[in-house]
Amino acid sequence: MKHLTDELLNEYLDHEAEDPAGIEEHLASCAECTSRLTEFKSLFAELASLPEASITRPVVIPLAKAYALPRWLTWTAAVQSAIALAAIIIAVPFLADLLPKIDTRVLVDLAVEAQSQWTGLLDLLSQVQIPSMPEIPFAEFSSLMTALAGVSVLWLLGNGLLLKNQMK
Amino acid sequence: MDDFFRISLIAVLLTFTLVAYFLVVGALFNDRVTKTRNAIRHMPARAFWLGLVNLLFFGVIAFVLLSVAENAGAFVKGILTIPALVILAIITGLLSSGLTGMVSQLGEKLFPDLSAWKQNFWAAVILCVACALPFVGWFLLLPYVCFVGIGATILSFFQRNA
Repeated sequence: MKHLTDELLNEYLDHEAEDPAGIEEHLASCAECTSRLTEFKSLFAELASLPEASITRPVVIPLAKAYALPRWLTWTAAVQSAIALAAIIIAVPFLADLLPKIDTRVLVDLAVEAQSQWTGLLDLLSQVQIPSMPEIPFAEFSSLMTALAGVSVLWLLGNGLLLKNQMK
Repeated sequence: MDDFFRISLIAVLLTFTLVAYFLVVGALFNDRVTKTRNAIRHMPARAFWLGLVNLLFFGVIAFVLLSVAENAGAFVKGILTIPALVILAIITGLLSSGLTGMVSQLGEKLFPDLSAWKQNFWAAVILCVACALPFVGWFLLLPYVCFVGIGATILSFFQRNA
């Protein structure tokens, strides 16, 4: 015996079946299909009893936003760009005339002078002598070691203070 | 004229290399950079002083080690150079993360409407150009950014996870 498919049962419930009489005839003699039909009926009744949920967020606006032009591409921006382009086109011949007259040596000289000043500063720093520390008789520390110890203490203090609340 | 173009070309290439570097660091170490950016956003002053203290300290240590190594024999030279290079590598790592965080923070402030990578791209370009400004950029902005970056990276290690 061939049972009715889910599709046929759905169509029968929706009153869209091509052969409702044949389906009814089969249902009268088939307990299994009748039981499935009853399940479908109760499921649809349950679905129909659910309350209508309203959409909390607008769906259309985000889609419109997604396909909208980028925010920066406005009429004002387009007009400004067109004016700027026109200005560049007009200015190019003048600039081409003016550029060779600009003395670029000044810029290079400035960079060279800055470099020499920086080198001079580094030279000056390298010549700084660490003041000789008084020798401690009971501990033979060199001035370098003393300076490093002092810097280490400062480093520990600084980190301790600055990370005080972070390390809890 | 040739010198001018050569310097300009080097500056442009260096800028784009740095921009690419910041983007790569941001992509590879996203968590660290995010924490660093949070530290920059919430504690810039503390990050600055922490960076100053640590960069000066480790800078002095590395400088002293390298200076002593220069006048020492081959064996001692090797022993002293390796820790100095390790210190410099650590500083570079902290600086990379810090500057990437700084770039990310700048991008968010300057270009809120752009996507994340575009924000970072343009912020890195702007930061590089700003730091290239003679004197003010070299001696004020660049050290400030470096100090804040290093300090923020150190702070990020002590940050509690949200």
